[in-house]
Amino acid sequence: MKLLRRDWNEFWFQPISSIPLGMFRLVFGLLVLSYGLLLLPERFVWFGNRGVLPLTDSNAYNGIGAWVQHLDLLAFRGADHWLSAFFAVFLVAALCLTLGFWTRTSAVIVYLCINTLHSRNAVIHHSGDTVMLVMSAYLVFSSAGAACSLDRLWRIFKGRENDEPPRIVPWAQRLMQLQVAIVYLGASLSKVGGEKWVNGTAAYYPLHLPESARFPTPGSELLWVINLVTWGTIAVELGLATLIWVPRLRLYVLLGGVLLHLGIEYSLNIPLFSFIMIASYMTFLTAADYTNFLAWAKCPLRLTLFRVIYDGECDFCKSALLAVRFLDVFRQLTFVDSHDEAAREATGVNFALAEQAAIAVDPSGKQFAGYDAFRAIAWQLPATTLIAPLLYVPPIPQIGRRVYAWVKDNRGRLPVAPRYQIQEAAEERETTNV
Amino acid sequence: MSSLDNPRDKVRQRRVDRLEKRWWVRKAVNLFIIWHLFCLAIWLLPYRSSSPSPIIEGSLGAVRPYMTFTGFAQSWNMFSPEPDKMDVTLEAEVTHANGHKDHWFFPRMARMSYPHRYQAERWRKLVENATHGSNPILWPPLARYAARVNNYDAQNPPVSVTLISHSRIIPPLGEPLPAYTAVPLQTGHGASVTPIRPEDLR
Repeated sequence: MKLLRRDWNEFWFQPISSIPLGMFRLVFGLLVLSYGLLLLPERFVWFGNRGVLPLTDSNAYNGIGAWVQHLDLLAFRGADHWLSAFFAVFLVAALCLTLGFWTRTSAVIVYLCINTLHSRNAVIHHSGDTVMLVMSAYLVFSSAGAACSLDRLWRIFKGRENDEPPRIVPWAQRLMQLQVAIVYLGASLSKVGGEKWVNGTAAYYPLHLPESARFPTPGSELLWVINLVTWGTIAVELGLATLIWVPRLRLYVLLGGVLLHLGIEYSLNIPLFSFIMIASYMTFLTAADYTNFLAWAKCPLRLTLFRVIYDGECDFCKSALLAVRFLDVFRQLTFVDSHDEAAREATGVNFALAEQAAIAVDPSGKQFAGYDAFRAIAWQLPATTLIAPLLYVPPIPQIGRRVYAWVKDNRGRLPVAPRYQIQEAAEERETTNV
Repeated sequence: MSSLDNPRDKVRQRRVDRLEKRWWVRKAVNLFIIWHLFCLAIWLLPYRSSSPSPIIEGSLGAVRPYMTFTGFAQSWNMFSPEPDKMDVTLEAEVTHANGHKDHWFFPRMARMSYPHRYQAERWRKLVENATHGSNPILWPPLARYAARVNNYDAQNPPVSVTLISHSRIIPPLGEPLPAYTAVPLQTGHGASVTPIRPEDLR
């Protein structure tokens, strides 16, 4: 009994890295955003009172007489402009959830909105949408903003956290994992009872339904291919329900699931379903998996190690570097205080130049100053890689250099991270006491 | 500066630590986990059992409001126990005041471009739910929607709509595809014809 209690507590409450959950939140938020954007153009058709299922018919379909059994925020206000306002709130909350800004609050709003849309029109939602709904419910209880979030960046600015994201109590994440396993257990067991699944021909039918098929599937007319896909589906789903809990097999089982869902995404038109399922696997990953992935991804990305020389006596510069360090997922940047003479001289940058602007130095010793340094660094950070090419397109460089010059001249007046304000105040107090 | 140099943060951290150590927080989370797992198990059990025991039936009564309200009331039997074999599209035969009939199809995926199909897939799900599961409760609102879409002449408004399913069963591997069969959706009293009132068109 004691052993059972210990294992129970270890499983649900022993702190783990917050990175996997943070990454899941980021990807999940993007999917929620896509779900909202896909529904947005036809919101009045699906959820409006002149649409396919007005409120009274929706309630009749749900089999309810009182709204309280289903969570439907739209039941109070059915007018179309309320629907537009509802979608605006939903999309903003989904964006905030993606960025990890006011994470808990945005998770609550996202959950309420998704649940409302499901209740308001249960007829148009598929299993992937349902997985999205239940995962959003779990996110409400999780510490999803502990890593990879603007909330964390703010905590870094305030000096409450440093380079390492905090560890979190994982009970909500464990519920997500169990939910994923339950989904696959339900799916696989119900297939085992079906004649077409047992005789190995079930996969043939959805692939040949013109309304649900997407791209033509090679080999879908060959019995052995159909057998392989049918039985392979059951095997992978059973694996995702059971073998996923065996640490040594976890990654292989997840890989099987990813391949299964990429196949579904290619051959069947079920919007976002496969991506939601694949995203849910992220809750099974560990911090070590992410570290290994980053190390593996570094090679093909051909990233460069840069040394960044900054003015260590400028609080605004140090604040900006906190954000850069936060975004430097691949740890490609090292930071050198221009006032640290030995370290600066090792980079070959002279003090006068370092006083004028931040300098980025690549391994060959090539120096990039000011806006050019910003542009060189942008290539190294995953969050800014996509905008990096735009930084070369006229007139952006010209504007960028002007903005940089303005910032340099006014940096004493620009806001700084609260941790430096506090430090400054403490130093002032010390000076006064002396 | 270390993360806890600020006295305010030290106080905050102490508060968090205290909360985490409080026995009732852990107890409450434990109770919630047990309750939630119990609900999930009870909810899934009926799908496995053809004759559920009175205990499960009784538990289901307590579990249902929680599962429905939170959105966890799901069965997870995707493409099973048998995969869907019915290829179906839905037509609305809209009769106008002067007797003219319009034939309007609910959007069909097979006739759309790939990107459009992705955005419009909800129509397929709608038609599937309206036709496969025999959900006659959905037919009147769908008929009224079709009437609104085809209400282009104020002098000659739609007065009734008949929903017609065009369907065929996908045959086993190697057999030729049959032709579509068009049949009006049937209620116990014959074809489902929805009368359209002026207020339905607003």
